[in-house]
Parts: sequence; structure tokens; C-alpha cells
Amino acid sequence: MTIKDFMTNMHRECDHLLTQAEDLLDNKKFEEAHNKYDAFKTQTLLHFAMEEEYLFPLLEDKSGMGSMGPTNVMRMEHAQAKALFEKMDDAYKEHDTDRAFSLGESMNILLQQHNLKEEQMLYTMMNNTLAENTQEIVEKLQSYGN
Amino acid sequence: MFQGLTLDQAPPYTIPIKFYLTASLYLIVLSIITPIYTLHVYSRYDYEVIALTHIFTLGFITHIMFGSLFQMMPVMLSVAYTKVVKNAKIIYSFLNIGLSFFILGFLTNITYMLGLGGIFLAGIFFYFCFISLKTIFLSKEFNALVQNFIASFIALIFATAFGFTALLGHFGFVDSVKYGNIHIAFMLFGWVFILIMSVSYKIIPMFFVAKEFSLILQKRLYILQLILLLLFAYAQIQENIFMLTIIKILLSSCVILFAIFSIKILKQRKRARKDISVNLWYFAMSNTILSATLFIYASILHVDIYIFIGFLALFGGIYPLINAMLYKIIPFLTWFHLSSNMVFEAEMGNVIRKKWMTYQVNLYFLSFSLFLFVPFFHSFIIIAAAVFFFSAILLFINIVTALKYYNEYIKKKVVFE
Ligand SMILES: [Fe+2]
Ligand SMILES: [Fe+2]
Repeated sequence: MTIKDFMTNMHRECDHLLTQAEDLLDNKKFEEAHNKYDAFKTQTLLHFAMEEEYLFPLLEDKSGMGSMGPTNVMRMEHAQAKALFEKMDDAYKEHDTDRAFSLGESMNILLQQHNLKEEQMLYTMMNNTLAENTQEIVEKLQSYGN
Repeated sequence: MFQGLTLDQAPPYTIPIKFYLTASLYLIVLSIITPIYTLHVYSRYDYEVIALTHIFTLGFITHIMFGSLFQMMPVMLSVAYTKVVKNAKIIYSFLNIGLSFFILGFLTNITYMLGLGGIFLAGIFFYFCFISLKTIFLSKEFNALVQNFIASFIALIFATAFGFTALLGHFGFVDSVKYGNIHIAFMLFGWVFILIMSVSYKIIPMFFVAKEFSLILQKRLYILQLILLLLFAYAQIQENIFMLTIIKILLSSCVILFAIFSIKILKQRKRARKDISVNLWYFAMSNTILSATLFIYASILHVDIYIFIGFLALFGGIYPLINAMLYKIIPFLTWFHLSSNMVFEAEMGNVIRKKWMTYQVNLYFLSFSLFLFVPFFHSFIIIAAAVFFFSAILLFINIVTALKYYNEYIKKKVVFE
């Protein structure tokens, strides 16, 4: 498994959690919806941490791109997502279905275009630049946060 | 190593919005002059029909496509147009100057205007192809998306060249109908269709959390389509009717194939909730399938229902697709530009009220239905166009609302000293 495979799978997993939370919300199962949403949030934040604390610095070092290039734009978008999470927390807590859907829509598009850019460019670069240490890096990612 | 690569949302917010606003203005113009000029029109070769079609294709579709490409290229390919502000300005100005001359030329029959319009338009299309291909080639990858984009621009180059040639026919140099047909084929089956495919391959899985299109489709269909188009041009020039019929059937079948696949993928999407854009997408794909089927039928049996087929493809197929896309993109873009300027109070759901988007789309559905009665009661064109006028106005207002929302909130931007 490459870094790109691992991280891309994780993107898909998060997408799926959000759609599940919304389906539950649509069926008015508020409690379960809230739990799924929490799982989505936790998983997404863990993913952000893997990138910001571990993968981005590695890539910046190895490639010499520095921290103000493409990775900085990605960090900025993580911040945008975090601001959205705060609002979504309220919407899910207050069972405000309409608002939760509308914020979920922003979150979905934000993450999708963000993921696309990572998958198209950054992860491909990581696969190339960090090729020698792939196994070690993937293993570390698999146990990240434990 | 990273030259030309960017993850930034390169163009300023106002660039795509200006193209979108202008596009909706052309729809308003179109809805006003349609009843004036079409009460006595019966053939697709009438100058009035050509003029009205071009208000729609150049005034509306092209503006949306160009505006969106400036915006989406960085996201989809991780490469951005260089000097995007200047290039967008040049393209915007010359497209509109050219279009004005061109339409006036057709409506008033003043030939020098027609010629001038044609030169401007051909120039600007070639220029756009040039800067776009230049940008695409900066991409380090050669994946299905890149290939499809390149293919659609190749089709656009041919379409433009043949369109210009057809125009020379109006001055008596060549057979306009022959080259006009090749122009239409390259535009619709080539540029528009391949571009819609390339964007859909990415956008449908993204927006609706759906499965990817099969890679065989993604990597083969555009090649097939380009080859068929070249053969189409050959058969048309040689006036080989039999070959032409076969190719028309194959070209239409490709379109039907894609439409069926996209419906299938949408049906299995994970974001299951229905919204306006899902409905518009189904509607568009159904009309696309219907118009392609009728095109096969008309080609085999040589019945002249081409105005109706064109109406179905443009107004029933392409229009709703664009309408759906606008209501996905504009609210997101507005919110995204605000939020990346650290204005976190803005919310996507408040950019354009859902209610107003629904009204607009319903008016469109109504006017589409009314247009279907026109072959039986010609005067229906007035009512249908009137309803579409309100739909177009509302679309314009909705886009203005987004722009106002942006302007209001961007003032809250915190500037770090
Ligand atoms: Fe990320
Ligand atoms: Fe990521």
C-alpha cells in the first residue's frame, strides 16, 4: 500500500461517514445521527493531524518546497473545515436539520475539492519523494494517534 | 519542479461571476427577441434561427464554460491560467464585441458586420484554446481528466475553423450548409459533449459522493468521439450520405451511452437526498437521450425535425445541466472565497435562498413544457418565451444576490497588519 492509497481510502471513509450521518438525520434518528457525525468529525480531524503534523513536514523537508507553498493552502482549508465543524456541532446538537444539511453541503464540497487537490498532486508527490520509506510511513499512519 | 503548479483558488471571485452574470443577461435578451423573430421561421437555415442559436450558444453556454474553466482548472488539474485577470478581461471583451457584431450581422443582413463578428469570434476562440492547452500541458499528469480536456479543446479548434469556413459561405465562397453541419457536429458532439463528460467524471462523484465512472469509458469514449467527428467531416465534404448516416448513429450512440451511465451512477449515489440539481441532472440526461434517439431516427428516415432536436438538445439537455451546475458552484464559490479570507460568519445556505432557486427552476420547467406546444400552436411561443423571460430574470437576480452577499461580508475581512 502506498501513502496515496492509504490517505485516499481515508478520504472515502470520511465521505461515507458524513453521508451516513445525513441519512440518519433525514430519518429523524437524531441520536444516531449525532454519533455518526461525531465519528466523522473525529476521523476527519485525525486525518488533518496526520497531514499537518507528520506528512506535510516530511514532504516539505524532502522536496525543499518549504511550508509556504501548496501545503500551506491545504492547512488553510483545514482551518476552514474546522470553522465549519463548530457550526455543525450546534446544528446537530439542536436537531436543526435544515442547517445541518446546508452546512454538510459546504463541508462536502470543501472536502471533496480539497481531497481532489491532495490526491491529484500532493499525495502523488509524496509517493515519489518519499518512496524509499513508504512502508515505514504507512505503518506509522496506520497506528497514528493510538 | 513545482513551476506552474498551484493549489490556490487562482482567479478572484469576480471573474467567474462576471461571466455568469453576462450569460444570464443574454438569456433575458434571448427570451425577449425570440417571439419577435421566430413567429415566421420554419427552417434551421433561416438567419434568424442562426442568430438566436448563437445568442444561446455564445452568449450563454460559452460565457458559462469560459468562466467556469478559469475557476475550475486550478481545482481539477492543479494548474492555473497565467495572467488570469488580464486574459479573462481580453476574452470577455472580445467575445462580447464579436458576438454583438455577429448577431447584428445575422439579424440585419449587413455582411461586413457578420464578417467582423466572425473574425473576432474565431480569434478569441483560438486564443482561448491556446492559453487553455498551454495551461493543461503544465499538468505533470496525463490522466483521463487531462486527456479529456485536451480532446475537448482539439474539438473546439476544429469547430471554430469549420464555423469560420461556413461563414465564408455566406459571402459565396463555399457551401455554408456543408461546413455549417461539420461546425455544429464538432461543437456539440465534440467540444460541449466532451467537456461535459470530463467535468462530470469528476463532479458527479464529488458533489453526490457517487462511484467513479468506469476507466474504460473515461479513457476511450473521447477518442472514439474524435475519430467519428473526423470521419463525419470527411463524409460530409465527400457528400457520402450512407457513411454520414452511419456516423451520425454512432456519434449519437456515444452520447446515449454516457447519459445512461451518468444516470446509473447518480442513482447509486451515497448522498441520497434529492435536491434541485439532482432533478435537473436527470431531466437533462433524459432529454439528451431523447434528442440523440430522435437524431438517429431523423438521419435514417431523412425527416427534417432538426429544429426540434436542436431545441431538445440545447434547451432540454445542456441548459438544465448548466443551471444545476450554477446552483452548486455559485453558493460554494461565494462562501469559499469569504471563508478563505477568514470571514467565517458566512454560510453557504444563505448565499442564495433555496426558495428562489426553486422558483427559477420551476419557471424553466414550465417554459420548457410550453415550448413543446409550439409546433401545434405557433402563438404559444409568446407565452413560453414570456415565462422563460421571468426565469432568466430570476436567474440573474439570484446571481446578483450572491454577489451582494459576497460584497457585504467581505467588508468584515480582518486585515492583519
Ligand atoms: Fe488535507
Ligand atoms: Fe487529506
